[in-house]
Amino acid sequence: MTLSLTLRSDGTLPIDVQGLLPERFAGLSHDEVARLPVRIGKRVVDLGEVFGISGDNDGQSVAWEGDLRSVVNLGAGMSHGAMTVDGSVGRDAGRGMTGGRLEISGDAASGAGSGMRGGMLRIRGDVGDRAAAADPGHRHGMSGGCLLVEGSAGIDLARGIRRGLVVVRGSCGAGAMMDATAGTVIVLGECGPHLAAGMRRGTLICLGSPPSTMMPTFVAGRISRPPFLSLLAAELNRWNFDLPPGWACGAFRQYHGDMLTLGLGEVFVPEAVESA
Amino acid sequence: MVTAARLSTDRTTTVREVTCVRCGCLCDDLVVHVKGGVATQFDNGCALVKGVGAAEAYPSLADDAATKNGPVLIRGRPVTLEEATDEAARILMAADFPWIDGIANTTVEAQRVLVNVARLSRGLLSGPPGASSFEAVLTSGMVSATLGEVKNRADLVVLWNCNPSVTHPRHFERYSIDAIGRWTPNGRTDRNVIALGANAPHDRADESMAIVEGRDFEAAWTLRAVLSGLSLDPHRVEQATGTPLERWMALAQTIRKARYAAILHDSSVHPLDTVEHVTRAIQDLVVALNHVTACVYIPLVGGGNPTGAEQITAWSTGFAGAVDFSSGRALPWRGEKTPRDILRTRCVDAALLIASDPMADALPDDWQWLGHIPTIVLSPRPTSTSASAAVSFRTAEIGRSVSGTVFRSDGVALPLRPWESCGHPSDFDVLEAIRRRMTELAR
Repeated sequence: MTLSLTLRSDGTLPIDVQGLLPERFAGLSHDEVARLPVRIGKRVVDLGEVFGISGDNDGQSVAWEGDLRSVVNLGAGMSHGAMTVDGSVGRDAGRGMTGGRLEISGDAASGAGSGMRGGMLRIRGDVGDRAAAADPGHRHGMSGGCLLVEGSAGIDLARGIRRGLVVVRGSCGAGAMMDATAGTVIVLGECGPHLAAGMRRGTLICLGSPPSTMMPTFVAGRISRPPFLSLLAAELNRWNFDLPPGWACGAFRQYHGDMLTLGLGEVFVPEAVESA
Repeated sequence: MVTAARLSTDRTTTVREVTCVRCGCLCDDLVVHVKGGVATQFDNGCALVKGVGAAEAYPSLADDAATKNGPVLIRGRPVTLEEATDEAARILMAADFPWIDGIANTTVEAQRVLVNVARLSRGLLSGPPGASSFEAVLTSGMVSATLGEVKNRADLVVLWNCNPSVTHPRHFERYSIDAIGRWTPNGRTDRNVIALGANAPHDRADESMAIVEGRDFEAAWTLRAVLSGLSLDPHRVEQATGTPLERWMALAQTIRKARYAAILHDSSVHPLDTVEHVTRAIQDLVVALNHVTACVYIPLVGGGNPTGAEQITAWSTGFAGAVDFSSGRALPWRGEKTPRDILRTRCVDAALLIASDPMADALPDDWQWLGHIPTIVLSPRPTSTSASAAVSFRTAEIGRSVSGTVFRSDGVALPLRPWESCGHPSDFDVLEAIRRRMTELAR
């Protein structure tokens, strides 16, 4: 009961599929789906010209297949239903999502989940820069929903995040959770520099290794075993996102900051790693 | 647009108040002595002009093969300007996603037309180099001033990991350290100079401080925290910046005593992925400093007209960096940041390049690919990209053979005075002809 769209084009021009969402496909026959507009650069073409259409259209689930690295805005503005991507996808996947579930089996380029307000975006590979971050000219990034990344993330991960949950199994680049207003970010790998600079509120958990340079404007707090981590772990396990066994039971050093702003944010670093 | 045809006489003439575009200083007091249409002497020129000799700085336009073949070529065949502009307009209108690059290399008059060409062709307009640092302005704003204000008022100059004596040779003399101003009548002796980081010229400074390479952000953040009166952990400050906390506190005290401080910063020395962070941190620091004294942020931009490009794209599209017109309206481009990235992903199918030579540092595969898509090149001299271009225009060089307006790094508009004749059309003339033809084709 899934509508399958297979990219037939091997071009490298950006193919903009904004608006092609389960709710847009609902109730349409294959011919009607084939006539929906897709933009390649400035040229607007029928979806059927670049995508092969198969499967049953239930208006709830869509599977995208083929080499989708040139496809941009896939799942942008999604509000319900489920979409899967077999392979890697271009920039701005899941941008501004408000609901539903988008799963990408490969990598996602920059801007994935930027400005998300709800829903679930899961990326099995790496994600590019500005994942779950604020769009250019906007103050706030992700303000709801969940972004799970099995690989690594680029710079400005969750920059300006306001609410929501971001989990990255690999490492992340510079500026993770910069200017955060709230929200929760977990990075299992190593974090880049400028970590959480300008953070007002929010929670950042650096699991795999300590931040290479903790900003001096964060104040070292007590060592504790935060009880909320086991609740978080249970929730992630429910989503089949496995974490290292026993991680939620370990001791963490808590840093408070950024004292140059409101100073109500917190960064947790495993105490064993922090002291190493 | 006026080119310098009037100067092509055999007698020696002197052209005064020539504006140099070799660096972001845009010195507008050059005196050029011209004989037979060729410069024989530059007065007031800096090392970028005089040090290498006039012949090397401004090589003769008469010697190259492309001039002999003709200034306007379609696939290597000499044609008229009308034929070439018609072909260029057709290429841009037929392309699905043309790429327009090199906006920083021309006058603001031509930049304005270039934005319209990008709009009509619904392509990707690349921003000027360093446009990513302009994104920092969106986050923090920018407290800045004209260079004249710095010259007249600044009694403290902070060289933040930059060396204007190399990149902007006359900056010290005209605007910052050595300049004699209204409230700094004794020039250098009226000013305190602080050099921060490895790139700054420590021999010209009263005070020097090291910053561990790549830790400019942490340094600016720490100094801001010290100025804000935060209690910091000395060990972690030294770990983060490579400098003891006491040095930062002493520096903060020095800055507090200043009546007017200017922080000079060259964003091109930072890696592309963190340049926006560093610029933003320094701008935040400047904002914080204004709680204790007057302080301004002075960007050191490169040669050409990058500030003009920022201003023109900002007021005509709303965005100062790269702009995507493919949807029919201007949107900020969030994809590839550099020409090399664009060549690597091949996300365009035609190119209009203004004095831009992306083939020069492209990988072999990308080089070949760019040779296969239709490319239009406007350049004052032949390049590796113009050699394989579908349409190639030899245009008058800005700062040499064409009049127009350029913007200094502080946003002050300066006129260009041509001093050498070349007979080629200006970028403005060519782009305006292309724009008119595109408008006709669009009807």
